[in-house]
Amino acid sequence: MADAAVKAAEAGAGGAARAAGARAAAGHRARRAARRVWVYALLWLGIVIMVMPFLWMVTTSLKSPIEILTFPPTWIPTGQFVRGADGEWREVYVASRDGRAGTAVVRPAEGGPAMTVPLDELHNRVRFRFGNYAAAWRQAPFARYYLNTVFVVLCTLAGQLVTSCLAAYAFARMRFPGRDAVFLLFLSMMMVPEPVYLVPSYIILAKFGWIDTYQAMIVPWLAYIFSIFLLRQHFKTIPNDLYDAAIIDGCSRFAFLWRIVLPLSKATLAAVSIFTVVSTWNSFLWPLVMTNTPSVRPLQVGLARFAQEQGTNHELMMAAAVFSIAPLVVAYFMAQKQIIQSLATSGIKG
Amino acid sequence: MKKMLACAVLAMVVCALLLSACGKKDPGVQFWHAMGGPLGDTLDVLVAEFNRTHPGSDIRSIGNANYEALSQKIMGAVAAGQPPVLAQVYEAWTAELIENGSVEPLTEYLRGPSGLTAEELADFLPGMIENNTWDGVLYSVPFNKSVRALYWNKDLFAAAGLDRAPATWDEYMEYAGRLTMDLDGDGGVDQWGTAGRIDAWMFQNLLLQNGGSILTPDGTAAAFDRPEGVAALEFMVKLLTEYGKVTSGYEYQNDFQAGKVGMIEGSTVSLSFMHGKYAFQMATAPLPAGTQRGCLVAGTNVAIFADAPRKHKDAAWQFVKWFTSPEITARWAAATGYAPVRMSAMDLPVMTRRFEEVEGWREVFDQFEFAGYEPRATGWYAGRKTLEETGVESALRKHKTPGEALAAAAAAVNAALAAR
Repeated sequence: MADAAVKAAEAGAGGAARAAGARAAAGHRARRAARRVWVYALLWLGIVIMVMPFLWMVTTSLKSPIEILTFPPTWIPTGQFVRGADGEWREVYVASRDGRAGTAVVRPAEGGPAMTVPLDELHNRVRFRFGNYAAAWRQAPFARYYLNTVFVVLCTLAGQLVTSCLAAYAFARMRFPGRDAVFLLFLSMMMVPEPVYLVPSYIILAKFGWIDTYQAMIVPWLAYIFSIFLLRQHFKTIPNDLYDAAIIDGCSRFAFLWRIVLPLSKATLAAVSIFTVVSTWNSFLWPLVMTNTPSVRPLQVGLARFAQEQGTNHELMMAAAVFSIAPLVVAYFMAQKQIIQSLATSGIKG
Repeated sequence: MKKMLACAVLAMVVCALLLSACGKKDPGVQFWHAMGGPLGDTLDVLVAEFNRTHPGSDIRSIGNANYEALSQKIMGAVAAGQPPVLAQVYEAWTAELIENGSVEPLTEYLRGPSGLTAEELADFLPGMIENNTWDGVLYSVPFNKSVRALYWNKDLFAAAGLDRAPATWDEYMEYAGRLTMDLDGDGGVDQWGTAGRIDAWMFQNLLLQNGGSILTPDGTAAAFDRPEGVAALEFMVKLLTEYGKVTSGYEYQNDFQAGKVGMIEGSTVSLSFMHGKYAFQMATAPLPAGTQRGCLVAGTNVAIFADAPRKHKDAAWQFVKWFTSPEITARWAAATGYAPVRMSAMDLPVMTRRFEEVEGWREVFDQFEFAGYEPRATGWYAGRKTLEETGVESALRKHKTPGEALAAAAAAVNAALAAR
């Protein structure tokens, strides 16, 4: 009896200990799960914040100009329809609603006199207006603008990679008098806003006879301080031992840069390339001022056609914005893996 | 990596060949402007028509998105000695360009074989030629000119028991009050009498209607802070904050188009931007009168640049003369909402048809009879911004009383004018 009691007590104690262990483990798991929920919630919040404007752009590009201004706003492009006597659905625009009388004053979308209809005969139906895309495309020579943008982006990118690598190498690994002063001067130039140097730059380019040419959009951007800065910071992290070993083996400075430094900097080069491509693709004021004719003007200048101070054609503007950034988005998905890796290594988020 | 590099280089070479094949060109008679959207479309059509109907003409319409970019571009081009032949300019820019001799005096062109007769000059809307004349010399020609109109929603007016637009300030305030409603009974306003944006234009128009003026007659000091101005700003603050929605940009126009606002003031060009984007019955009216009627002319002129070759300057003058002829200015006005710059254009079929289509439109343009102009002093371009930010905005946001706000703005404008 007593033995049994002792055994039972032992079993009970052991069970309690096991139970406590299990509880601790469960608590740990619960805490981890809770933390994970938080992390996912934050990530989702990030996704929503980043994706919302894109979705809004796409949905706006598929609406009618009247729907864009209605409140509350709709996420799915919708039109108001009434069924005619012949059973056909006809689209109407609502001029006013009278909640108390249960009627609305509407005007047919195709034109015609106003009608008063009961609110329950008014139906919402999803309607995507893909015609906005064709209309936007016809407003300006966008095919030519595409070609111009791609050409300017590629040339700027190629030039910037060459100049940035060389300059960054000099700033990071070579010793010469005034190096740090020059570098600081470079950095301070990053703080000068574009409108300040726009007019002086125009004067210089005009003296070269470069206004309204590709050179005007490419050459001044062949060296870009931010790219130099980013690469210099990375080059500084490459150990000196590698350099010493390479020199002892008879490697020249240039060969060291080309065969050792650059292969070690693929991720940073990718990051620099992304920043250059995106900023050149999106550049607006510079090409607007430096060029005159559609034969050299880029996409962003074409987009400005839809916006004026007194009013904007939102649906056409958004349709044009969608097809203007589509190549960048496609390129991003194609190179997603490399891009994420490079951004993770460079420690900079877009 | 190497393959990608090779591909990229190849693509660039192909691109370069393709693009360079398209050739470099003669710059033509460059006309720099800031017209976009429906305005730019109309201008492009008219420029193409001029080139077609005038053999040998090569006017190139070059859009520059907005006046800010246009002004920077003109400044740069003039400094580099490579100006366009023709460009849109505000009076304040012209004054500066005259100072450094960059714009062509038009006296010779006016008197030349294809000049303008005295009757033709007298046919321009009142005050326009004087406004483009400095020391007796015409330097620019009115191009895209607008005044403000009152746009009103007939459906909302009818629902509030109103059947016409307000004609006086008292009616303006009263109607705005009657149109401000809580439609769904939740205690919050969801239909506003009016709406406006924070800008100096509405205030300047009210100022003229109240018998005030922007600067002193000699143009050396602010006059908008006098009692007429203070009363005008008090009226504006009461109207917009009690019965109105205030936005910082042109969103107020969207609220009107969405049928949530009874009436708004807007430029006559706003008509072409609102076209087809509202479902209610809209009508227009001239601005309500204060102690007197009044409105301010906005918009730019065109000037010819002195450095351009003679042949190009002649072509530009031909274009300007053609564009401001009654027939063409009427078509420009009918399509864009700008004013036709010639009085005889008002009776041409293309305009009378427009007057029939848009209720009240003729009366809106009749406002030119008592139109005023902004100061032309080079300092006023910045002065208007000061008036807007230091004066109008701080009063509308109720940081200061209208009197204090205008006094502060006047002090800043006076200092800026004295520094010139």
